[in-house]
Amino acid sequence: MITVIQPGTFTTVQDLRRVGFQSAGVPECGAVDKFSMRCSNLLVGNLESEPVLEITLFGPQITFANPAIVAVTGANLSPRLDGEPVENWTSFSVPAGGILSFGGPVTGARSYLSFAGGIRSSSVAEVMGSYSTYVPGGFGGLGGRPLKAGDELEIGETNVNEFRQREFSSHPQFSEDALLRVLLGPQNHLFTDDSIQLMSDSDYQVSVDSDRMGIRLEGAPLTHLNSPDVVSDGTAFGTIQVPGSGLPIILSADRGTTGGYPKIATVISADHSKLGQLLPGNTVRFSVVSRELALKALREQERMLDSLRDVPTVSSVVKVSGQIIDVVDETGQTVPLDGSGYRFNASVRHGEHVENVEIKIKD
Amino acid sequence: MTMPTNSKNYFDSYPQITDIGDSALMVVLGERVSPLTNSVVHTMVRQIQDSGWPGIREVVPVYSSFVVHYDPLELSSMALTTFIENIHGAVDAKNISEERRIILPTFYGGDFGPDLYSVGELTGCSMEEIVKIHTETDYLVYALGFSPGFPYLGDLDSRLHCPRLDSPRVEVPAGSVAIAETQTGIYPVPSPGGWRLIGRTPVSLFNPLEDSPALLRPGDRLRFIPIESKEDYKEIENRCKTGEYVPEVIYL
Repeated sequence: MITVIQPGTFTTVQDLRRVGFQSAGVPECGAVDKFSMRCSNLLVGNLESEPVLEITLFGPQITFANPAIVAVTGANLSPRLDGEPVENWTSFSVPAGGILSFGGPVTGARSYLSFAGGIRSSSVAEVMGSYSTYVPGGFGGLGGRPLKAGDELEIGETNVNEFRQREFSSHPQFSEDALLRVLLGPQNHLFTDDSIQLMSDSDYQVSVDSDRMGIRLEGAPLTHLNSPDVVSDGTAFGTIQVPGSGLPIILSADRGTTGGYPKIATVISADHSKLGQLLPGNTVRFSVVSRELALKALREQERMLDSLRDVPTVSSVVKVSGQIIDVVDETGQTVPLDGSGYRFNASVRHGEHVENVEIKIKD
Repeated sequence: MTMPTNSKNYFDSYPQITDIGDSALMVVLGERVSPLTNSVVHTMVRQIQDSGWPGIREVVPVYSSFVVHYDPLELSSMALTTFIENIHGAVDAKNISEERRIILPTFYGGDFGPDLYSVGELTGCSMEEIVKIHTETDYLVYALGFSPGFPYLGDLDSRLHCPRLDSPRVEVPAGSVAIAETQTGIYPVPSPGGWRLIGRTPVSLFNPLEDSPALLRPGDRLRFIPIESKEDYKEIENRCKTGEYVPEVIYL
């Protein structure tokens, strides 16, 4: 069991996301920086979807009743164990009575604290298929609210004697200047050509009014061709919507499921991690890229996580008697079967019969 | 029922399928808000949800469009686009999903409808006329959005059209029935809001612990009926809490 001595600025239980209830107006929620969150779980040997604590800016002070294995990833918020600094992106064991605390933000905004065996409290129940806290709606996580002093959470039991330290050496570095790669659309046609250029050429500052719903930016206003209102439609993580003021808002995990402002572009998945680490005053620049590049970047990011997971090698997946005749990637392009890449679809021929299989390759 | 898909021009222009980033597609079936387009939206959304295609995470319908969230490592944008175009090509009136009508008791005016007076001034209608007009139509649930369980309802009788409040309320109580411009809606959970409040329903529209957390579904019809007195409101509210009262649902 762990007990919260000090809750920190804003500490909530989050898993990957809530799936299937956006059509009921329920935001997807979940960790803002999913890459760091998944990494935290993998470092302690959990499934990457286990709920963790998302820690914002000034972290909590937590005492452990029993020995535990934990990891802290994402922002460097100066984690300390019994007063001594501990490494980010590395799992470590905590003795019974140990106190985990945070000295303050150095880089980034959000850390992810995972526990080997996960969070097992009856007070943290699945709501609509997810453990993620949605504070505006008052549900999910621990009572639909951030942690407060005195909260107690059961965590999974673990054999500390079998502890094998894992670290993630190729972790991302977060800085005060973020370059966010975007795909234009879905409504870039509702903006002037000059505005599209302006978006790429300008530095934007992250406003203090940023939170889990969205990141508000200050800087050069963008110009709509006509009205700044569209018929309300759906939104996605990373969608950049532009209200009448012309100042972009990047939509995040707790965003409303529908929106009525034109959406000029959308941040690519591989850069969603950076969105979770932006602090007020940070500088954001946008770079328009192609869908193919976005997918390549995403596959590269997934491959980074493979060093922490046990991915089947190509020989263990493809045990087919036939001959591999065609291998294509997600964009439909033929790729050589030389071991570079993460996931492919292959067509395998057994005599007259052609079968499609998925191949996963480990570097 | 005449489908918009019968028109040749319609097929030339729609569906418009666009990337929203690398893991979602926006599918637009029309530029205007119309019940017919909306019913095609819900029909297609249900078919895509039921398809069980691997890699599709979630499908979210709104007025005249929907968004398909997918895992780009499982499914390509191109394959998904073709799949959606094929479903669109095969949509016909027989596939239109089952419709329900839900009856929602509502107390109008007083401290539950603090803006009923200003609506009267803006529209020139008496209190009785406002209630009569608001309760004599079936409203279509175009979509749920804005906040959990919040229904976008249409279409409001033009005699009741009036602008939003100049300054939104910091907190609108749960159950508040409101109007703004061409729309009417109900706030299921307390939230800030700029629509004009004309009444309140004792029926809960959103419970996060239920299997189906939202009472209403996109595509439903909704009819308000007036509650005559605060005593009746309290009684229904109490019976809702004990589970003795559930709003009437008529399958059309």
